[in-house]
Amino acid sequence: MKAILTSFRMLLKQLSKDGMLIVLMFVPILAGFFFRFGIPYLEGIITQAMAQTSVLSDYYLLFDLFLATITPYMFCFAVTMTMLDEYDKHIIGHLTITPLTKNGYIISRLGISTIISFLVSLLVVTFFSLTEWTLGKLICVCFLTSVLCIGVAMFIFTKSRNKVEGIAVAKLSGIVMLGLIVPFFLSGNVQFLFGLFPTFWIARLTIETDILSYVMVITVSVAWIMGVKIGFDRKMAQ
Amino acid sequence: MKLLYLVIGDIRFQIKYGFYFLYAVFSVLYIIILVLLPQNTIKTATALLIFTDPSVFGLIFMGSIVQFEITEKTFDSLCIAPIRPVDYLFGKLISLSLLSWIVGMLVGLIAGDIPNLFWFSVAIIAGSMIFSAVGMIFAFRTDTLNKFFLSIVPIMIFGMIPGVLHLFDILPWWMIFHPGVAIVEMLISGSQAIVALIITLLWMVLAFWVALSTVRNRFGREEGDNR
Repeated sequence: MKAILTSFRMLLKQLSKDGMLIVLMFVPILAGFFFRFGIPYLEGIITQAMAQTSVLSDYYLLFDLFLATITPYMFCFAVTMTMLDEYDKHIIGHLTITPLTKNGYIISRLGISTIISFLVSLLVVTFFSLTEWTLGKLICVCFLTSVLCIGVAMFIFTKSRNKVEGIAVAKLSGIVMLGLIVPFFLSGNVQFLFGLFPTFWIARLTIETDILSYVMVITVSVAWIMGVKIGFDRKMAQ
Repeated sequence: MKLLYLVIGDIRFQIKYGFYFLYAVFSVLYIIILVLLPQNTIKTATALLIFTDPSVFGLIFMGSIVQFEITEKTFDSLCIAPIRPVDYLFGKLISLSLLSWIVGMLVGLIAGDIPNLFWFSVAIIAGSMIFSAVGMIFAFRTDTLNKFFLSIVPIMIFGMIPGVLHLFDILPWWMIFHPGVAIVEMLISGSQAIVALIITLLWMVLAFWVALSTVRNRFGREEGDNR
C-alpha cells in the first residue's frame, strides 16, 4: 500500500510539474459553471435569434451527461499521457520489478485516479446539473462513466507506440462518446446499431430506466474492459 | 525541391502514425452524421463539422509531431541538414493542410452542402494553415505534451467559439475581423466572403511570421548546441 501511495505521489508530482494538476482541479468546476449558467444564457440568445421557443433546453439532460463524463475523461487523458511518457522512457519496466509490482502500478495510475474522478464528477453534477437527478441515478451514471474511462485509458495506452499515436488514438476513442448523443437524436431500432457503445446504454439509462438498459450497460462495459485488458496486459509485460 | 521532399516526408510520417487512418474513420463518421440529419440543417452542420475538426486539427497534432521529432532527435538531424526554417515550417503546414482539404472535400462533396466550392476550399486551407502555424508556435515553447495542450486551450476557446456562433448569425458585423469568424464566413460563402479572405490573409501573415521566428530561434539554438 505504501508503495502504491508513493507511486501515486510521483504521478501527482509529474502532473503538477506540467500544470495539469491545477487544470484537473479547476476545469471540472469551470465546465460546471459554463454548463449551469452559460448554456441557459446561450439558449436565451439562440431562441431569440432563431425565433423559436426552445433549442438547447430539450437537450439539458445530454449536457448533464457530458458533464458527468468530462471529469473522468480528463483524468484518464492526463494519466494516459503520463503513462505513455513513462513507457517511452522505460520507467514502467523499472517500476514493476520494485515492490510496487505491475498491479500496484496500475492501481496507482488508473485505480486511484478513477476513484478521485468518480467523487469529483459526483460533486460537479450535484452542483451544476441542468436537470433533476436522483441520488441512485447520479451514483450509477458517475460510476459507469468513470469505469468507462478506465477502459478508454487502457485502450489508448495499448494501441499507441508513442505520444503521436497516443493523440490519434485518444481522438479515435472519442467516438465512444458518440453513444451519449444517439438516444437523443435517433429513434426506433436504428439507434441500437450503437448498442456496442457503453455510452449509448448510459444515456438510455437516464432516459428510460428499464431493466434492459441496466443489464446491457453492465454487460457491454465488462466486455469492453475485458477486451482491452488482454492487449493492455501484453503491453505491460513487454 | 527541398520543400517538396519535406512535404512528402511529413505525409509519410502522418500515414505511418495513423493520421490518414484516423481521418478516414472520422470522414465516414461525419458522412453518416450528415446523412442522418434533416435537410434544412445540413449546410450549417457541414460548416460546423469542417470548422471544428479538419480546419483546426493541425493545432492539436502539431504539438505531438514536433515534440516527437525532438525526442527522437529527428529535429537535430534536420538542423544540420541543408534546409531552411521556412522549409521546415511550410513542409508541415502544407502536408497538414492537404489532409484537412482532402477530409473537408470528401465530407462536403459526399454528404454535405457546399454553397461554393472555391470559398469552401480556401476556407479549409486557410484555417488549417493558421491553426497549424499557431500549433507550431506553442509546440516549440512547451516541453511536454500536457503543457502543450494546456497552452492551446485558450486558442481553442477564443479561436473557435466565435466561429461557431457566427454560424447562428448572432454576432455583430465587426466580429468578421476575428479569424474564426472570417473562416466560417468563407465556408458558408457568406456575403462578406471577399472581406473575410483579406482578413484571413492578414492573420495568416501574422501567424506565419511568429511561427517562422519561433522555428528560426529553435534552429539557431540547436545549431549552437551541435557545434
